[in-house]
Amino acid sequence: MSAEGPDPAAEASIRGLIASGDHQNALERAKAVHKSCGTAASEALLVDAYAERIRSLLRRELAIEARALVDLVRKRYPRSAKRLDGLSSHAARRPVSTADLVAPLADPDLAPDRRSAIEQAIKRDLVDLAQLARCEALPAGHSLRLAAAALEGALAAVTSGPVAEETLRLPEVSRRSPLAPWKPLVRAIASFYATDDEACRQHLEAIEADSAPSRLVPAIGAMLGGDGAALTPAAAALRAQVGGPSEVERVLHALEDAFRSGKKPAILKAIRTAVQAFERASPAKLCALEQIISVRCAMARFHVEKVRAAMGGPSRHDATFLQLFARGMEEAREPGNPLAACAAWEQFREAAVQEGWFAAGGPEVAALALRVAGLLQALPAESHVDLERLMPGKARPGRKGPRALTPEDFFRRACTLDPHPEAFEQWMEWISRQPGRRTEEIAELWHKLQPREMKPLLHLLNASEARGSIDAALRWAAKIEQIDPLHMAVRRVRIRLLAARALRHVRAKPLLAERDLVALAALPEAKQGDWPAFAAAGRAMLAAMRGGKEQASAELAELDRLLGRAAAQLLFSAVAVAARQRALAGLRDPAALTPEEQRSLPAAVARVWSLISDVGMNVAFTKTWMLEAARQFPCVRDELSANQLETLGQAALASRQADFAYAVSAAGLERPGPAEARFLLLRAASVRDGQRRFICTRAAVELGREAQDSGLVERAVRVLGEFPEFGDLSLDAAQAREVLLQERAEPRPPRRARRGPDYSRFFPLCQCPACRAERGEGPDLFAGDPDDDLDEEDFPFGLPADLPPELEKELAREVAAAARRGDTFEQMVERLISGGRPARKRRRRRAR
Amino acid sequence: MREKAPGSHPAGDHVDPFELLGIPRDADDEAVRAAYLAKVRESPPDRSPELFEKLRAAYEKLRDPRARIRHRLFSVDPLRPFISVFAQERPRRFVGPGPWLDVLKGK
Repeated sequence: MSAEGPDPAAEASIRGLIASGDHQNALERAKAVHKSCGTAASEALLVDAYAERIRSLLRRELAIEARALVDLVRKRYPRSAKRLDGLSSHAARRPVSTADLVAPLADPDLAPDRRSAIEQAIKRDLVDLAQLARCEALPAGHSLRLAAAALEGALAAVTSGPVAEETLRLPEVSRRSPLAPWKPLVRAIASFYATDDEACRQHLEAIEADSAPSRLVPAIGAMLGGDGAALTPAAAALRAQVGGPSEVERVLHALEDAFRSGKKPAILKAIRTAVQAFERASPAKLCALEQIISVRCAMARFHVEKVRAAMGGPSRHDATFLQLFARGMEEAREPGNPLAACAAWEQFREAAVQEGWFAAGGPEVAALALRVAGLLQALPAESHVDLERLMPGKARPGRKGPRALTPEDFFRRACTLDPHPEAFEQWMEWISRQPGRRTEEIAELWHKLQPREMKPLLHLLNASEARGSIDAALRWAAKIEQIDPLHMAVRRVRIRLLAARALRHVRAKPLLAERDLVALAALPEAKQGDWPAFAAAGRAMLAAMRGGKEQASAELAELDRLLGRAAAQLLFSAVAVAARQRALAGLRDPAALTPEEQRSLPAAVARVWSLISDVGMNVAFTKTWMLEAARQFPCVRDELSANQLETLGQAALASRQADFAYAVSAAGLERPGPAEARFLLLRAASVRDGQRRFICTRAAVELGREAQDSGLVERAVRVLGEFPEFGDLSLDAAQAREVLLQERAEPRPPRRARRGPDYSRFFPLCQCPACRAERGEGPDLFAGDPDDDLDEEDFPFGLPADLPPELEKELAREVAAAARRGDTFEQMVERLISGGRPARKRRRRRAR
Repeated sequence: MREKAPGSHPAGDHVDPFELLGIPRDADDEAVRAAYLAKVRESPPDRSPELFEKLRAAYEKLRDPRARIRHRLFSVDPLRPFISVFAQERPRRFVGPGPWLDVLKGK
């Protein structure tokens, strides 16, 4: 505010109005003057006008409104608040009975501002709930009377004994009621008696500061251990009757506050005080206190000697302490603490067994081992050796065997003592991340310890199959069937294993191959789908190898009947290749097929590919047949289902027919639906441009997530691993859709003249000088080889802090000119130093 | 060190699940389950949502032997406020509403 005041004439006029009692006009004009001047003098004038207004309210016995206006003016104009001192005390002295106060509220047409002033007064001043509850100036069912009655009852209940939660709900008291602040008060008292100090404090904080219930906040705070120095006599009496904190409680609160402050001198002092108080008042708990103090100081990295000095000696290091210390090291999360936690848990185990907490080989020891394994596996392997150094080197009585050090040691201990799925799964997950280790080792141990548990058997089955150990896989399948003869996973995999083994046996042991095919044909699953065709193809091949032409012809005829001639020939050829019978694998020219058979080729390829994929055969179809299928594809593409299209695309890729795969992806992308992501992934695999492959794969991941196609997402994420150069570049859903639309608009494979969509907008711009020049940007003066950092030797002068503004501007102009010329930073500096001539070539780096 | 809000001593965060369910520490699975169901019947979620959540959390901690072992071994909190560890046996006396109202009335 400025020192200039209102216009003297205007002020005189306003004061005249005030003196004559025309407060309304005085107030209006004073407001206008203060709005234009904004000075201390104009504020004082305005407050004087308000004062006259307040006096008029008092004259008319409107003490409530007068008090409300006093509060408002004091809040708005605190500088001039003193001018109302006499009036505010005058207004306060006017006693108002509860009935007089609330009676106007019975009138539904009461002016809103009057209602608000009365409710404000109730909130601020009313302390006698009983009077309000029984006040006949309001109807019996009035919300205020009901609320007051409910609060009266609740207050009596919480101060007289424990209460159920139901008592504290108080639905009669709405949030907007002037009695609303009583609700948190009642709840605070209930929490206080329930010794839920945190909840009590939260409720106290919720009590509005300008409400009647807030008068109890200091007293309750003191009873919770706060400062009780400034309590009123009634509050002090309440505290004495209810029971304030004892000496022990006070020092504990002080100790907690000291730790929270983080100031070590204060903490040490509080420790000394607390220990002395416990020695006097609670010696039985002193040991426990010292142990907790020791741990918390260790977490805060105190010097151990200083803590011991403050406590008057070290704390007892028994199992209780070690347990607390281990947890403290887990919680503190400083470097080195996880290892300290591991060591502490090991020491705790030994101490706890010695003290009889639990048995040496019990489930508690297993739980501890699992905990330590979990901590250790997050640390680098070389730090595991330090674990031994952190533990005392002397042998402890009762400890047998070498000390465990690695996560494996602890996992083994946990799983041996208490074999259960969670422990084994954690162990297997850790093993799977160790180079050169096989999870089967763990699964076998698991199976040994829990022979009827399915998970290790299934793991061993799948792992054996993945390794190509078909006999081992079949043995595990048999074990699973001993436990559960109808296990679906086994039924599905057995047929696949028999087929794969039959193909393997064809080469060296045709009799065994025949036996495998007989066993396969006997399986119920082998009668479904195209498995009968596989069996027929296998039998045809064996017959042909033995020279049994009749039988071979019969089986081939059966194959034709099952699949159609085109598919039959494809399957027979693929089976022969897989069995390394290339002499039998030759296919005739597809031109020899009938037009109908040629037309059926795309569907045939998809069908046969699906079957041989199920068997796990890694075989590509011959080029001539694939080219013919590609030629026929446009005519039949709309007849193929999405699954057929996808399978056909995979066959095309496996047979190195990228354009055919591209055409299939185009057909698939035309069909909106959940399979879009799959065809986008197929599109990615069928193009050579790295950026396009990456972007399409990324988009497939996003769309796959939307469609909740976890199998696709997994496959796509694996493909993304082939592009480390693109880092963590990601697309959001909208961008993925953009990519989908762009790819959908590109039905033809890319060629030199037609490269396809440009996705460079998704990639950050290259900042090399050549790319920047291409974009028309100057060189980045401050970019460069990160190893080529300038140091003081290269830049012999620094800019003074008090560089004159004109020179700063000149320097800025020089920098801009250098940028336009395309100078490097060094050239610019050289020009500045030499007075205008740039360096011809870059200075050599001095050897460091 | 982990920081907590100034002036707060969250004693209420450290409710012992055994105490909450009213069972001894060597209670077996059946006893834990029975106690939990009994408590939920007394305080169903629609009537006492906060208490129900606490009961549910306590049950999760104790529902099977391994969970109970983990609770016994690893629930120790070194940062538990001193006051809640050494809570005084001296009770806070119920005195009725009178002395409380006296404070409100400004006596």
